Amino acid sequence: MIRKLLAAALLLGVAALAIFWWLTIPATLSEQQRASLVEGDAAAGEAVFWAGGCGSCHAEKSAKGDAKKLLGGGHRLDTPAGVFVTPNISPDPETGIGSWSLEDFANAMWNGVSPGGRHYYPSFPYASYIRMTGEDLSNLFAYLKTLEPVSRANEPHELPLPLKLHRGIGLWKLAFLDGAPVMTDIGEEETLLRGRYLVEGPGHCGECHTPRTVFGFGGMDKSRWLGGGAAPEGDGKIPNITPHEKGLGGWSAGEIAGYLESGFTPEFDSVGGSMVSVQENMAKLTKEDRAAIAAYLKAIPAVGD
Amino acid sequence: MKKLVIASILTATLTAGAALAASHGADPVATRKNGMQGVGLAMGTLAGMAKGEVPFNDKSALAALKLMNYVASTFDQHFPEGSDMAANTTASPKIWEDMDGFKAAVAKLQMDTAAAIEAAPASAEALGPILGSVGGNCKSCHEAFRVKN
Repeated sequence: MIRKLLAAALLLGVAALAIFWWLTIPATLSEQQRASLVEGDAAAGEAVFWAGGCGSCHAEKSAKGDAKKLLGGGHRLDTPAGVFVTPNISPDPETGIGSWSLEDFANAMWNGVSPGGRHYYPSFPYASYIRMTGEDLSNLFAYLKTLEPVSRANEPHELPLPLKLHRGIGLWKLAFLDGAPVMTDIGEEETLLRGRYLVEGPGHCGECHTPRTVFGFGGMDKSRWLGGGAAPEGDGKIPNITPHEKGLGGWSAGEIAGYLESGFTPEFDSVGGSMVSVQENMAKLTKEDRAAIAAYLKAIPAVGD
Repeated sequence: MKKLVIASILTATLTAGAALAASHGADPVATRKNGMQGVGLAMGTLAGMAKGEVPFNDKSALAALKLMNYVASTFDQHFPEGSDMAANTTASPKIWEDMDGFKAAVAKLQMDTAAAIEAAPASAEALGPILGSVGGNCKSCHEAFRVKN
């Protein structure tokens, strides 16, 4: 009897492991994803580069101007889960992504999977990048190829043991990775749709400005979208940027766009902390794109306490 | 109208300066907050004139620059040990970890405003480059040394 029970338990355990393994198989590009890739236009990719803010994490901390295009990584993100060290995404063939194909790049950006078939940690904001168009990804990849290679070997993340088991990220993805738009009821106006794309996709604003579920380890809490909360990295709090009185309720769309361009609030306080780097990326977008972001931020639901 | 605008700017400037002087040496957190509010007010005055929202006036432009210069001249003295723990401060612990870097950042604001006072801008157009050099200090210092709570 006991033998039979043990055998049954063992069988169940093996089955559970097999199911876990099957559920967490790292994705490859879907047919639809592959079909949307195009021949990249590097010149058009520069705008995507600034919208995506690649340099804010993959260049040296507080890098300014052209130094933001040196994407050797090594930027340490000190989070409650541990320290993530950003990788080299410069076109260096040995230590960067110089030997990657466009398909490798797209699978990393959309599905969070490395060319070797491993899950990336969601500190790499693919949960937002999954909403980017194939055209933008193709152009961005072409642009990244034109940048100066930086030779710098990647360092491992510093994480506690359970989080080192990266296969488990497959479960996180099952629960939280979703390429659908967050704000589904925003209407059909072109400016708002453009703003939604920039904020929810490449701009990945929600990654910091939206609190996370499951004690901060889950996905972005869509019921408190852009409502602010504890900083996922470093000290302090991330502000609420919804139209609530504790957020941007008192700001006009023009003032929001102006802040993204100049770094000054309507009261002439200035941008600070890690938002400085982001604002300087936003300043490189077109006026129309900044206005679209501002229009979207005025159109989303206000999130209070 | 023009006179009224100028008068109100000057009054506000003087009030901020007086508040700063009055609180000097008392509560360091309140003192540095008053100081930064004065700087913000001065930036707003200059930006308003540069954008043509407020008519240009050389005296109020100079007063605004002098206010910023005055705040910068003493600003780093209001960060005694332990005042990073105050409940209502947005000063980053990095100020105390890198006091030399912080003092250098404050000194740069003082230098840039001194140069602008020396240049004595005589038109709204002349304010553009000054806003760039002086205003850049706000961002670079807040990037390294301020934490929003």
